[in-house]
Amino acid sequence: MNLTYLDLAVIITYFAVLAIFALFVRRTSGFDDFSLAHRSVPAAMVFASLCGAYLGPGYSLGVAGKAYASGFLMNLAWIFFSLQTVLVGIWLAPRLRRYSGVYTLGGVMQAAYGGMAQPLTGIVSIGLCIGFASVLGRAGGVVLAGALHLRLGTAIAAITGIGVLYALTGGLKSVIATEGFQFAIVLSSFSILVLRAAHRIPSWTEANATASQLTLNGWNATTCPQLGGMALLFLLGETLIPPYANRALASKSEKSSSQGFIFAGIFSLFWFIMISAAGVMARILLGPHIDPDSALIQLARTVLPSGLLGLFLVALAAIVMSTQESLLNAASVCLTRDLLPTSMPDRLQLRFARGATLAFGAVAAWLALRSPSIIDGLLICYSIWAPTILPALIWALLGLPARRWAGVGSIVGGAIVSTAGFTLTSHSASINVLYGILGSFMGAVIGYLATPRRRYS
Amino acid sequence: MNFMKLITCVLPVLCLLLSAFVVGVTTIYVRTAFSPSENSKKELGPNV
Repeated sequence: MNLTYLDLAVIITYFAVLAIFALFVRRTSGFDDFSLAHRSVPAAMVFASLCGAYLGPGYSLGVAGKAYASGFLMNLAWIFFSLQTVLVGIWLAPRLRRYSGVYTLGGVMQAAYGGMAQPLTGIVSIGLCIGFASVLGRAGGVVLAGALHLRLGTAIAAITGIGVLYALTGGLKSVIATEGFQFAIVLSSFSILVLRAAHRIPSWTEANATASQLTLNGWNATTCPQLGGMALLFLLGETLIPPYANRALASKSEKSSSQGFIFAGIFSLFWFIMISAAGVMARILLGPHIDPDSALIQLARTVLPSGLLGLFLVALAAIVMSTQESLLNAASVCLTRDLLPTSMPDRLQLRFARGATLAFGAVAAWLALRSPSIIDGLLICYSIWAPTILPALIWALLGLPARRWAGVGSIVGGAIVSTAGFTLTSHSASINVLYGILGSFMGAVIGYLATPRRRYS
Repeated sequence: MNFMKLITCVLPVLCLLLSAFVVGVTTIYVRTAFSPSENSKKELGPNV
């Protein structure tokens, strides 16, 4: 990619400002501040940081790529992500916020199902966060390496390193603050891209016809089970993953938590439509022969002038970093609270959490170099999280009667079946999720029957 | 009105307004969350 000095100046300035911000926020007043920002985050910041966390490469470059190939068809599946986020806001996020002494989902599981559920949830949470972070690191590294002509390893180290720097120093408070600014950069640069591309559309009647034709072709090439499977993945795959759960736990009140999630869900609906429209415009302006996944970047190169192209590349780095730093912060908190003794002094917990952020960042960067494919990696993460943790977690949050080994059985059953699904079979991720949920329920029933009644009923 | 024209003209403008709002609330959050009085609560200092 040929960039001007102005573009390079914008990119370098952005990374420099982030590094300075990391120094500015280096003071934290204990583990509670580092992990949950003193549980004082207002609804507007829950909304902004949640949007910053879920807007990764998949929900920007991926959405535009799908729209480039099949118009607005995939909005039928993405709407389930929006629905899921709104439903979490209505029912689950406020209930999660009620756990005032809890730092992680492991703590919620421990309260409902006893001690064993906490380390198991912690291990799955850490694995998921590092897996997600490495997949995102690779996605961001590929974009940065292409833009600045860097080696992939150097680009991944730069993307991951800056995020680690301020997640390490300021904890969740700095992560939320930078996510707010990064979300604003993403919103403004993508909006400018859509506006400038719209100016180049020769005929709106033809644009409408192209969008309809692409959507119809996509519909004819997709079976209902395929579409249903995608809808299931978007409904369950990212539900209450640790960084999102942290926003609910860190919010100022149950109402703030609920409002933040509901508005983030509603916003995502309009975001998917706008980015899909950008994908369709890329098809109209660039023709049918480019790689769909690079459609948005190619569109930016075509319609954005010098300086704004640099800002767009900064936005691409921002969507990766804002998600990645949330994941690393959540993983470090899970390690400290779910796997290490909670009786440790506050100062020691803070040191462990910071050390873990650094170590997990290094592991994620190392794994990013070996990650096979971005989509495959995300699908593996989705198909493990939904069956392993979600059934027992939702059961606990809804306050339904729980027995000690039912929770453990649900986690173990879901983990065994979903892991076996994607390692031993060639089923799609959505089928693995369904089998995994079935395994989770079977494990829960076995655990329920195995729990001595007189102690826990 | 044409569907594509509607969404490519209206949604980006709304997103630009939202981004201005987000910059505002984030600035307020940074000023309160990282103020010296907030940091002095049980401060542990820069021990990175």
